Amino acid sequence: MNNSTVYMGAIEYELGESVPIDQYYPLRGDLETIKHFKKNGLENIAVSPIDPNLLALRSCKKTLKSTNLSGSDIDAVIYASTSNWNPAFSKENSINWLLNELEVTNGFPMGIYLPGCANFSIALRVAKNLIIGDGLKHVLIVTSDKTDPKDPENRIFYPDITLLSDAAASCIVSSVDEFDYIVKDVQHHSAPHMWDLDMEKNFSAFLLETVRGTETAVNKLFSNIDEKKEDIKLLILNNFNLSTMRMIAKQIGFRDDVVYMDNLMRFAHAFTADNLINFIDAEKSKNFPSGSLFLLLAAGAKNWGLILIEKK
Amino acid sequence: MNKTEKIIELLKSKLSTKYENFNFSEDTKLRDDLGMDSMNFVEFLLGLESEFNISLTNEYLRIKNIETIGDAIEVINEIERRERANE
Repeated sequence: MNNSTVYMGAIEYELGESVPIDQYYPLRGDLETIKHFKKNGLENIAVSPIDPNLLALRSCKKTLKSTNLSGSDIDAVIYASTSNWNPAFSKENSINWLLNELEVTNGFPMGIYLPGCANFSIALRVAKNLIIGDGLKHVLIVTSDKTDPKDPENRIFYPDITLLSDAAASCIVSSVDEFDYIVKDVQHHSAPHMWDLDMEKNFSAFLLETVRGTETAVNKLFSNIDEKKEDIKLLILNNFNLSTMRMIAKQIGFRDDVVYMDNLMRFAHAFTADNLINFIDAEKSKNFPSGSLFLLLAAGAKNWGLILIEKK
Repeated sequence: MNKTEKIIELLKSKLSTKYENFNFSEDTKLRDDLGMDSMNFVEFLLGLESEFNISLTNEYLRIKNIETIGDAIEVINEIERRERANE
């Protein structure tokens, strides 16, 4: 360990209420779509009646409770969310409300809203660099997202990829060696040339460029580190669907059996939070030994994030 | 085998056996007629790349969104035409 080692832990989350996909209004009666999703491992989604800020608060409270830290020990809060674009969910004062509820009296807020499913990994990258470069001690990251209840069909990720769930997840990133994991590396890839591609008009280009972006992101990470793909104990992906997750693993050179898929049927794709939720659930349930390496891959539309984590 | 026959063979390898005796033509719509989902579709595109030794780059796929067997042939022809022009 050296003074540039960054630790991570106190990972907690708050999920919406579990709803079977065949009971969710826009899908109810659409037997063909339900059959397709079920064949691909989706059974339930998480639907929350509360807004993303309250989801975030609940998750953060669990995170702080699981440490010996209080809100006043937090130097910065990074809020990562795509839902923040929805004015119904985000007001100028929302972040101050959150900090006040958490009693963060000595920290400042930052927002990550642009990279979609890579929001969490960018937030982690920022936190890591605030610790190494700016000397911060404890950074609280929270991701929170929810679909707009006025548009129930927006849970369906066009045309047949996945269904979205409402969730928040949070963790502490720290310079202090009191947390369970080491953040070994964080890498990103963006494909700005895809800016105007959409799934309807450029279906083939969009799909293939998304696969290529994933490959590029993974190659970028492994060219930057000494570890090899065989060293990775578990590959954590977004909960898209079984065949997509298997295809991603195959394309980037991983076997199916290192991909964590246990949460897929539980809540499908929880925006940027599912990486973190899957990671901590996998870790708690599988009892990996010290030194185990985990790769978290967020494959967003046009932005990709990769996090390499080592268990202490 | 010509291009159409090669593509039909590729499609049959990606689809369920119920399409074994399907009456394929250049107008066959990959998603509407063959019920291909996103994953079948990606695998089909990757299969085209390896079968015809081409790279289906963003540049070509923007010119023509592949919706039918005929579209796929058109894109492959265009890639081959440009490669010949660059030789």
